[in-house]
Amino acid sequence: MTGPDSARAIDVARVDRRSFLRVVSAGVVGLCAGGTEPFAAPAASSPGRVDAFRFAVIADAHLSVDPRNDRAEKALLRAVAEVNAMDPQPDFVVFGGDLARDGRKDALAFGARILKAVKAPVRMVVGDHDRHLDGGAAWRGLFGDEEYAWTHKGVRFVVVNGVRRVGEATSAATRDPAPPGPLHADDRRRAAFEVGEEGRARLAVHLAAVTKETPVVVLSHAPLYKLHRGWNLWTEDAEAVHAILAPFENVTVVHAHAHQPLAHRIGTIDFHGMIATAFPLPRPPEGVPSLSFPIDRPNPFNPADGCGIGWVRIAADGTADATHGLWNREPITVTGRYLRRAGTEDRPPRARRPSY
Amino acid sequence: MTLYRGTFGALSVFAASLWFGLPATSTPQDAVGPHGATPIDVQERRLDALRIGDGSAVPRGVDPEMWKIHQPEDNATDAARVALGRKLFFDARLSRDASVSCATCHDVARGFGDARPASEGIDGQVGRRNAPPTMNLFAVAPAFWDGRSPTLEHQAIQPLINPIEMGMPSHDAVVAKLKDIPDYPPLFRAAYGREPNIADTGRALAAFQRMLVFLDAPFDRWRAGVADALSDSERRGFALYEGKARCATCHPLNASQPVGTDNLFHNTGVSADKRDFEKLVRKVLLALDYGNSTADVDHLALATDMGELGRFVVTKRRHDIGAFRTPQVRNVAVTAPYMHDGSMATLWDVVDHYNKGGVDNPFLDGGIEALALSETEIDDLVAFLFALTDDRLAGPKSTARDAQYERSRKVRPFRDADAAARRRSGFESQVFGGKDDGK
Repeated sequence: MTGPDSARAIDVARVDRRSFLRVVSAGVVGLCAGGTEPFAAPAASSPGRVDAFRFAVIADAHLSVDPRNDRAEKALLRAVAEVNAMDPQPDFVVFGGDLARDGRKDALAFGARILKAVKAPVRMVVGDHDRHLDGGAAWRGLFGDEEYAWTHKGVRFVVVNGVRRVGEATSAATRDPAPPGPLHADDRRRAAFEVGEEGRARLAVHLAAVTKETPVVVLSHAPLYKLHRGWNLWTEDAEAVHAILAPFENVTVVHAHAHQPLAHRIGTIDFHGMIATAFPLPRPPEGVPSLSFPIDRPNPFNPADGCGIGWVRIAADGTADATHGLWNREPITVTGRYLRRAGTEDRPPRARRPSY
Repeated sequence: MTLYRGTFGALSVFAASLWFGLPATSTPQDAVGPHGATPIDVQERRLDALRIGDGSAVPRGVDPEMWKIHQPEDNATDAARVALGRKLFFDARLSRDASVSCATCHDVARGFGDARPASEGIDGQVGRRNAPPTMNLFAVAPAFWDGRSPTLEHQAIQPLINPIEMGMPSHDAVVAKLKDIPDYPPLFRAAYGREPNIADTGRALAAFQRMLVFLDAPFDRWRAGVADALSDSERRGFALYEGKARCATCHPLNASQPVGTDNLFHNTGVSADKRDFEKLVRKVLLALDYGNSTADVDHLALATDMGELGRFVVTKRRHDIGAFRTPQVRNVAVTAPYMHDGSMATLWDVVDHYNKGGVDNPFLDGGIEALALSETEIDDLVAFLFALTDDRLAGPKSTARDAQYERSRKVRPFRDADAAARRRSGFESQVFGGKDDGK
């Protein structure tokens, strides 16, 4: 299910057929999940130009596999059905981490079983909850390495493990095992996240294979910047990570963990925080980037409200537009243009009611 | 056919018998008009006996402020409008072959519905939706099971031109007919100060229906402080309604929403196990590409299996797939069968459906969960639902209760005690029992 692909040459004949199908189907499926990709410009040979495509994101399923509360399981099943109904199909589906609520092996395996029904290839990202009990051993047993990379239609994709705990690498041998029971909000008492020295080194290696003009998409569970430490929306070594990404002209970080749409730009890096399937979280009390916009507060009587799936469209120039496919509302698209024009263009719709 | 026999009581056994081709066991009083409806003169006498208001005052049981809020700006209720609307409501001449009126499917003698799963229009054509009762509509909008009409005024004129309901070729043809009937022009002039036209036809029908208020139930007296207005069982049922059974989430019963609907749309899985939603979605989007006028949507909803997508046909939003409007709970005792397709014969069936957490499907409303109600609790809850019946409908209520109770002791097709108690969950079978298993 995971693992690097070899970089694929662009199949011109296939592209033309897809473009044709898009035109034929546009009027019919235009309102289906995700809509249709706009007419794709053929890949140019100039540096940094790519063949436009779309991938889907499912994140934060938080499965507990507890028959007393099957909301999370139902939500992930719905996400899979939604992604499978996307027309045209996404090139692949990223699972953005936190498959299992407290990292139990049976919950992870159950999640893997659900994700088998996804028609498109699935790329896994590890989340903090997935690693809660055993530091990720069960997760790696199911899905393979936590950090990997591949090139798709001219875009370099790098998956990082953004949820190592500060000091974890050096103290792993002696550190206490995680406390029994589920991982809860007292997470604030635990150490902050970091990519860590090892993770940064692997990120650099994964990027060494491509030129600076190549568009880069970094997939991480944690946001990879410093937002609100109290809720662990915080990456301790964010500056060092950004320094590795800085030489690249066109970088997009797609992350999960916040259970709400987030948007940010630091230097040349765009950040898109994707929504969860399991439950929405409130606005953090501090540190929300100015480009992030609140959505209307989710209806507490409708557990699907504020949740959903997402999809990211990579344009021919390598910029990424992220869409939050909220299950109970109209989709919200945050364009790369919005981030790069400092919010002066393509503004997403404003919320009408305050967040909690 | 045993499904419905003995279920609806004397008022509706005859209609159900017709529906299933059974011989009628009728008394002279059960004489029927076209399409199995109660004859119009009988219906009119029953309506008189129900003593609804004539439109000159706020209907009994409605808070005057609430009434004001729900009054449309261009159609304030008055006696002339209500009188015109009443005449139109019972007038079968508004249909193509003069056999169908509003009252054919919204039969005064059958709880303002037609006591069958789906309604019959001209030429004996049967649609795919259960006729909702035309009671307490002053507080209900948008209209239709999929909300395809924003107002009662807009709704009232759609069946006139639906080919399987009243079958008129156009609204112009309806207006021409009204102008030809000498009674109508003076009534229109008195009500709206102008000649007959289609918009005022809808307004008058809406004005009349707003007066069909039936909010004088034992429950209301109990709420007002009469402690013994509800039995112990009914009181326990109300506690379940507001609590464990979660009914009040979508069917709120309070001062601002007295009829028990949130006026929203929910997928509770009623049509889920019979349909391939994705296939229907592709079909309906293609169909709407060819035409998406009000009449086109009306046709898709009533005459095709695409109607099972519910609200989606109107909004084309995926989260509306299989979602239908929350019906009111007032007088629900006398409006069987239940759900948008009339697929449930008794209130025990309805509670069984929710008790097991509906029917699993990807678009199931998030609030639908297995409820773990015991048999005693189910009986209490149903008892409470019967206590929401207006006193003027006490006769039909008593007949319906006997029939539904008797049937519920014999058949409970929607009961699934294991799912209700979460001994087995829908998602397990989806994940382990589906076709994708082992992929």
